[in-house]
Amino acid sequence: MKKRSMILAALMAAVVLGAGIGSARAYFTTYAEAEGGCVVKLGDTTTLKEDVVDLHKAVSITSEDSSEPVWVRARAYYGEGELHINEEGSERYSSKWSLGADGWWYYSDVLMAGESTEVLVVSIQGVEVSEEDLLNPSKVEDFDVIVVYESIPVEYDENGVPLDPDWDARIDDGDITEAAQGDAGSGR
Amino acid sequence: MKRMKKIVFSPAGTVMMFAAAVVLLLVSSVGGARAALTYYSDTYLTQLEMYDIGVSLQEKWETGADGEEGPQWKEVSWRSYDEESQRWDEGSMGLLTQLLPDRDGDGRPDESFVIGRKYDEELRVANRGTINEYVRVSIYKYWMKPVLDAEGNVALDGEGQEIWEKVRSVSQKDENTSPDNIILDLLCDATGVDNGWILDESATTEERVVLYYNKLLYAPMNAEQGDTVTPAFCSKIQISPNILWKVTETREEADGGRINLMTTYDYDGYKFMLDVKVDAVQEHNAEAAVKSAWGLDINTIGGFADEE
Repeated sequence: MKKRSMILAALMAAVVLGAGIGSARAYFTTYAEAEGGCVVKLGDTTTLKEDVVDLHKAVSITSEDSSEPVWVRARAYYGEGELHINEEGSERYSSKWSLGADGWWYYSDVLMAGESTEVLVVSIQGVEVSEEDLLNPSKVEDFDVIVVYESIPVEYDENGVPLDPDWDARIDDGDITEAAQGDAGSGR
Repeated sequence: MKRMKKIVFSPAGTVMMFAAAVVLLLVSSVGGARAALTYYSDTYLTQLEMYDIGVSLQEKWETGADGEEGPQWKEVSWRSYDEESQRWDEGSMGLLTQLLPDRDGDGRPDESFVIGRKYDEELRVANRGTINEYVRVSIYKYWMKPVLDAEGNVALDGEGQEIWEKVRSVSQKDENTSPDNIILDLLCDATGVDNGWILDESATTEERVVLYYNKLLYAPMNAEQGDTVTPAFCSKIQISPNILWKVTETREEADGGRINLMTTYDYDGYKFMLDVKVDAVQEHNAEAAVKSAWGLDINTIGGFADEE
């Protein structure tokens, strides 16, 4: 009987204590939440344009309207003879193209969407060629100059100012490779 | 005395005491019932006003929504109890809506988002209720990618809204995106000694950052006692230039012996997202309230600086 009394007493205590739990857990809380975002547009499409007159090739690179800003550089290869590129004093000399120690010609300005570089004139010299040769397509093929260019996206600092290009940077396509080579063109 | 003891310890006595306890409990609730009966009395309304809790997240805008020039703080999300309408007053305007300037007001940004540049993104918390409170902030950052239709455009739902899906970089390791590339300049430290904001490193992950404000945030009606708004807990947002080098490369031969190497940017067309949630809890019995509401022992991160 005494045991039963104790059980009843414990039950009473539980009821009384339990009645207080509700108020103890009822704290005032609230919250506020906001979210937002911004779309990132990446990617660039650049094209190489080559105008050939006699033994001179005028090269320019154009960035399409939807492209991100890029840096560009170009170089030319020729099997025989001597190549003269962007000669100072020549009619179409451009101060924006400058020769690097590695043989590449670097364009000094950021190429924005829709813009084109000034022309880079590549000339073959030291090769004897007659006017007849220049009119003969099979002969023309002998003067094959290959122009290669590369572009890389422009990186900006914290203030939005373009950083100098890092041509040694590596792209990460899951299998690390060389810097992106945008296009390669060959012609006379 | 002996008789009384006998009655008390008898089964009947125990039952009587149990019944008495139940009656006492019922009687104790009469007060509440009576209060309900006088719910509309002026006195009762005045007392209720003391217990309204409210909080808001504020973002600094360069130009106000009304076109007013000059930086100003703008409530971008809020929730508080409105005494007049007897309901919660809540709403959200979204974050980062002012990130890119729209000076001509045509609804389109005047410039593109620049990778690497740090953009102003100042955020703070304000008390908009009638009781003092403690607050914490949970910041989620993640990437979303568009769901494309058959033509390669962003698919639209039945209401004409673009469909985006969250990129779960943590759970899907094959995804090439990372919330780490969304960089926030947070104004906090491990102790809150600087401006009151404490970084809870134990709760912080790649996608989530949790900050606690270790000072009491006073209600506007108590503004003479202390601050009603916190210092900014975030100042800038930046997307890492690392994403410029995350590409998928394909090679194709074109006419005339040309070789085109096509690089597709993994992050192109993706949307970086910021989701900020503010939680507030009452000042009274704050430690227990924080433990109950947030599951945190506040003393494990230094406690409150000005605990009552």
